[in-house]
Amino acid sequence: MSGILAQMRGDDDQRATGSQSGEAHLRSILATIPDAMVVIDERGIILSFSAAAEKMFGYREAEVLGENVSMLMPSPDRERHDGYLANYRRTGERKIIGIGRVTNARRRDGNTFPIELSVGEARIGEKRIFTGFVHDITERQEAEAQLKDLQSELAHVGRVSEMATLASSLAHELNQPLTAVTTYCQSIQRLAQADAVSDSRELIAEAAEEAAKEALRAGEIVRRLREFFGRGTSERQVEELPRLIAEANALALVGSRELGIDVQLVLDPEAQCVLADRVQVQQVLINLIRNAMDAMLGADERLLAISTSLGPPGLVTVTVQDTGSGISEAVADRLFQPFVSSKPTGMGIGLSICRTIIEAHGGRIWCEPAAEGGTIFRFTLPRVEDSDG
Amino acid sequence: MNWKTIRLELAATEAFPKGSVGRGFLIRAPIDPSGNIDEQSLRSTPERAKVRRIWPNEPDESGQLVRVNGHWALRFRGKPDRLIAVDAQLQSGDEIVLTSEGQQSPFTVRIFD
Repeated sequence: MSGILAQMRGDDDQRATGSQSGEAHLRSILATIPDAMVVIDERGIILSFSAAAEKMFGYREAEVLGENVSMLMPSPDRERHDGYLANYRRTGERKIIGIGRVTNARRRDGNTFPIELSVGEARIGEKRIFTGFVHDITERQEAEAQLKDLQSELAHVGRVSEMATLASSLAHELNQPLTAVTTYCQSIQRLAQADAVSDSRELIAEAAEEAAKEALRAGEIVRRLREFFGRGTSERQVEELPRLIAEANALALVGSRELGIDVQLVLDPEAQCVLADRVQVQQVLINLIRNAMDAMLGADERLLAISTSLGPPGLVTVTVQDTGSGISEAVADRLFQPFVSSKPTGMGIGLSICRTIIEAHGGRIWCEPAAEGGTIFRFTLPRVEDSDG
Repeated sequence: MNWKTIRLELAATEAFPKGSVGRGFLIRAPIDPSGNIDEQSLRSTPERAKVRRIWPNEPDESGQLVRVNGHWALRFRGKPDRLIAVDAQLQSGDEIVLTSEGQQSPFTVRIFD
């Protein structure tokens, strides 16, 4: 804390003397704040590290003073943080200050955990400092995430039953023109077999015309149905893929402290923007990450690797790989169908939702066994070329 | 055998007189109670012995802990091996030296369960 206090005092000794009681007051606040507090300068250098931060991250303040704050972040934020600061200095555009966000942090032992980060900015003379409040949301996130799971499952069950109703009315609607087509065809057949075909020629032509009309009607019903399904409520916009993934990863990392899962994010800087409904795609990612975590429960090594890459043309591929038990061949082929599960407690609808979502985005989702054991899930999303990098 | 995380943090050098806890390596390895890396355990599942290099402003690099000519070494694809010069028992707080292409760098050992 001494670092930040010195910084706050600046070189003005007179002001320093005058602020001694304020300093004591500040010290007492900082020592008791339950959230971890980290103060950095404009270049990201740590000036102060509260007692709660020491406990949360496993470093003593003396060890981290003078270090770049990015050391508390996992990749890709770590290597990008200097860029974030530079961007803010250049443009003044606030992406986190006063807004806050859910992201991941990394402890000294290498484990990552989900946090809610709020950042404030202060000017001290010519200098600018940033104060970050770090709140560990591992626990709180659990209840919220469970709720979200439940909601999505219910929504899907709702969709399934809605589809069952639709399917029966569709069958009924299609049945009429198809029955008519059959009847007309039978008539044509009968007339064609008659002795005096020439007399029946007009009738045959008429029946054939009717049959064609009914077939077109059936086609129209199918077309209307397609329109109905196509008119989704999805809200797709240009989204930054790294941020979308980092957030989903933080949301999914519930209880990972106990599981000791090592998460590795390798994000291709070229695969930056996608056209997507953020919430839906995060739902897919959370589903895949949770599945991966479940699959690694009994594994010796628990490494979750999430990566992005450019391609196929016009698309971006997102990969979620685990070192878990893998998927049995019996289930693998039908994995994305509703009500197929490899888990004893699974409802087997998670991956079918994933497929529905990804295909509605114009992408594809599939899985394959990893060479070193475990499973690799991949999905594609439409890429948007960067406008400004 | 108990697999643990060994964290190596850059110790005091000319460029970093007080060392740098933000620069280092995370190594997963089987360690016996006296601090020896268990070669036999590691041989049965060598792919578990992952190494990650953590450095400011650089993406994580993933590698393996391997045995080279009787020494432990950190191996990253496309880079020369970093030999762990001291083959003694590892304990939290110890200082070890990594040698790569003749260049030596000191690191402080931290061990986590």
